[in-house]
Amino acid sequence: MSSKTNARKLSEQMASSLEAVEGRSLWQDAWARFRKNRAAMTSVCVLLVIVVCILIGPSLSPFGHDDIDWNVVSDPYELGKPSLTSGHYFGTDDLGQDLYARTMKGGRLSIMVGFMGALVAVVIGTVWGSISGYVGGVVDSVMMRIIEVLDSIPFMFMVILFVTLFGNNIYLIFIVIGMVSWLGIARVVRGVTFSIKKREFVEAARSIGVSRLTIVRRHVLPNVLGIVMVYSSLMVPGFILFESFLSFLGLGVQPPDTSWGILIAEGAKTIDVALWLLLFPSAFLVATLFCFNFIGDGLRDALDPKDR
Amino acid sequence: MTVRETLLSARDLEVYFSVGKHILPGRRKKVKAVNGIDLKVYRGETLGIVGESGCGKSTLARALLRLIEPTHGELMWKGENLRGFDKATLARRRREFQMVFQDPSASLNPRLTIAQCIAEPLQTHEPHLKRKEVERRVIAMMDKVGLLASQRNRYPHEFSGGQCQRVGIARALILNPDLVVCDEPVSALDVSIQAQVINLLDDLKQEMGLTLVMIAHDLSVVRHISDRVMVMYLGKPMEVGRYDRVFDHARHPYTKALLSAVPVADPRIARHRKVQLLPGDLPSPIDPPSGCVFRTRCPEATELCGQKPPARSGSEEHRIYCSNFEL
Repeated sequence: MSSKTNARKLSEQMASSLEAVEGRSLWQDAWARFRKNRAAMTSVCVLLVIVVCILIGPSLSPFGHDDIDWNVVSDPYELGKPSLTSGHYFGTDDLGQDLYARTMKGGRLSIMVGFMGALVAVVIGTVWGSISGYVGGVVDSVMMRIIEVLDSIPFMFMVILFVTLFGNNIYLIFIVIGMVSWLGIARVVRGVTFSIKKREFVEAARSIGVSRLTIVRRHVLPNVLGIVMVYSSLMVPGFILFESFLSFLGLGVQPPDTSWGILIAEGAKTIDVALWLLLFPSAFLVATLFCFNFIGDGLRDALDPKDR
Repeated sequence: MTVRETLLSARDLEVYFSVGKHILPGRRKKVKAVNGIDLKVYRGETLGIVGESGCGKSTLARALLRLIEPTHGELMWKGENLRGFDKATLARRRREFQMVFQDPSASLNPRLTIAQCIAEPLQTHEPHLKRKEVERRVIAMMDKVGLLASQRNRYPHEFSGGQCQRVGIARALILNPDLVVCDEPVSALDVSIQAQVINLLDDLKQEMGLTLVMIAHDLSVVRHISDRVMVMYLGKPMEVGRYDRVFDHARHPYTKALLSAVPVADPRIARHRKVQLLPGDLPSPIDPPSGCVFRTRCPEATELCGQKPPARSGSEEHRIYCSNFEL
């Protein structure tokens, strides 16, 4: 008996003499789970490769994205086939423009639209949603009605209106996407904030006398962030697709600027004579979309292990 | 008996919640969670509040600290009108009264280390403190509640319920409050841990000169630690008084029924004991019975009970709210 208590005392002494043990936060746990998810990790790698390609790729090609190779113009579907010797790795389009350079260039725009859309959505949506959810009452009602009004405006109509008013402009796409993208995430964040607000640790913070702003910043937002991350990573492919869709309709960027959507639209026209024009941009787009979806799924499983 | 300082007092405290969807807020149905409570908390004592689930104990606890705004009634804190405090004053004065919550793991933010949890009151009320000083005081407090200082950078999910409750207690005590309201601090814990936490609270109370309001549905918890006890039913007080008077000389039929249901460890005694069962369920607090709220389940109820509110009798020492019994 006494030896037992002695042993306990000793172990306690040892424990307290040690330096503070580092705990494993929920983020670290989530990261460990994410790393075990093979599909998600592969997607991260593939996505990184694509991003690196897009960033340094254009400098590896002897042609610029709007240079016309006069050698192939006479018979672009024959002379402009993909080949390593001619320098047109992915071939050329019917104007003799190098598809490799154009795919890389278009990828920059597509991926930038995706990230910018997600960034705007996350920042505005999180702030808006958490304030609306935490304050509640009349403020919440007003903020939610504003969202509903914005959400009820026909989106395509707005895009067409903007394009006719301000002309075709890439920044216009960013603005339009930014205007509507945060609506969904604001709703989600509001809902989650509502449920977190009722949790005891928020009440505990209130009973301590912590100010409302600090409660939102310190107790609500970190607990909302996981869901925001999942939601936004699943939103990125949506924006990329949306930009492609707009460009496909001719409402997005204009030649000689390009994006994956435009390249696919052009490739689709020549599908029976020059399959490569459709194949390469589509492959990049599809790979990117798959990657984002797998990463989003992986994040969800990692951040919310109970919710399956 | 010496004159004791009244720390917190409530008079005719009521907390109503609107439910239902009537267009006019005034016409909506009301849940009368707390429906006319008078109480006094003296400095240095432990006041136990017992009652079955749904009788408004937790609402009362929150209303006493203005975590929920009372609908009606008077709250006095150290002789000042607590309900009259504006937002900033209230936030500043919150350091004088703290709360320990029911579910230990839910009351800690899962994203913060326990040192950050315990330090939060310090950072809120004494923002000028240096980091080293905060850490020193957190470690001292952890030591007091029986947590190893080396575990301060761990997260709540790495602790057991009992340890989390110790963190919750440390957080409530780090500012040296006058009053700590404990809302069923042990009901979510294993029985073996319950005793540890209750003893810890009792020890800390002696050591730091605290005043406790201890809410529980478990009579044995309250009996162990309280100086005075209040028995609640459906938002109203039934019997109030010194714990030995209430427990050993219970007069109110409800208190008697509660006491008869407390399990006894000795089976030979338990076999011959008569448990006073109450018929039916707790009535809805939206539409409480007229007169005495307990009359629908009271074995001693008479016609008179439905007609007028229960008579109050007795003294500060021991008081009951019942028309059929008197002290």
